[in-house]
Amino acid sequence: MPSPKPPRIARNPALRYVAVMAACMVFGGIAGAGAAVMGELRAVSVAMMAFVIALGMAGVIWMCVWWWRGLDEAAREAHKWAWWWGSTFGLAIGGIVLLTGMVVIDAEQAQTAFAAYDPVDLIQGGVFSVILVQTLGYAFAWVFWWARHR
Amino acid sequence: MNNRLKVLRAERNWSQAELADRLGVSRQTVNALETGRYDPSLPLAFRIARVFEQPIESIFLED
Repeated sequence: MPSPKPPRIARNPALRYVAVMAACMVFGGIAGAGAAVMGELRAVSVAMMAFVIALGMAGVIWMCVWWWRGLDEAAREAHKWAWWWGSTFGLAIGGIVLLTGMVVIDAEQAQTAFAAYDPVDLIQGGVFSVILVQTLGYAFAWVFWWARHR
Repeated sequence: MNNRLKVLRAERNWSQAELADRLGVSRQTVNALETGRYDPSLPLAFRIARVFEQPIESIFLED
């Protein structure tokens, strides 16, 4: 049975580009109008920020789904294995380093060292350090899986 | 699990890339299958059997 023809917009890259640009203009217009009518209300800017982040995340997830569907089963297995073991070991090893560091550096030293930083930056630094150790563990585990299955 | 993939491929003078194309997987996956270090899923095992026109049990052998 022949597969159904994709919609015209999916087949034509130029048309797709114009559609994305048009959608951006419409969203930009709505955001601008909202800001003009409601003023610089904090609630409105927070809502806009949440909407833009949600839109970005939806785009990233869509790309991930598209990328995942293109992988064969061994490549998927490598990623699943790396996700579980790499992230777990990355977090465990990172945790040992960070917790040991907390014991080695005493509270007074830490206060002096981090006094110049904004608390929000320190929280973000903590979040990114967790993401970093998990990503490093993931990368090592992924390479290890393929090396073991060569 | 052992398999006869390498022998069957050699009999047909196919490269790993060619077999990968026929199976719809990457060349790395074919390599992992041939070395016996990766066991395929049932759907892939059936695809392999179809490509080589042989029953699954004549391609894959228990250790």
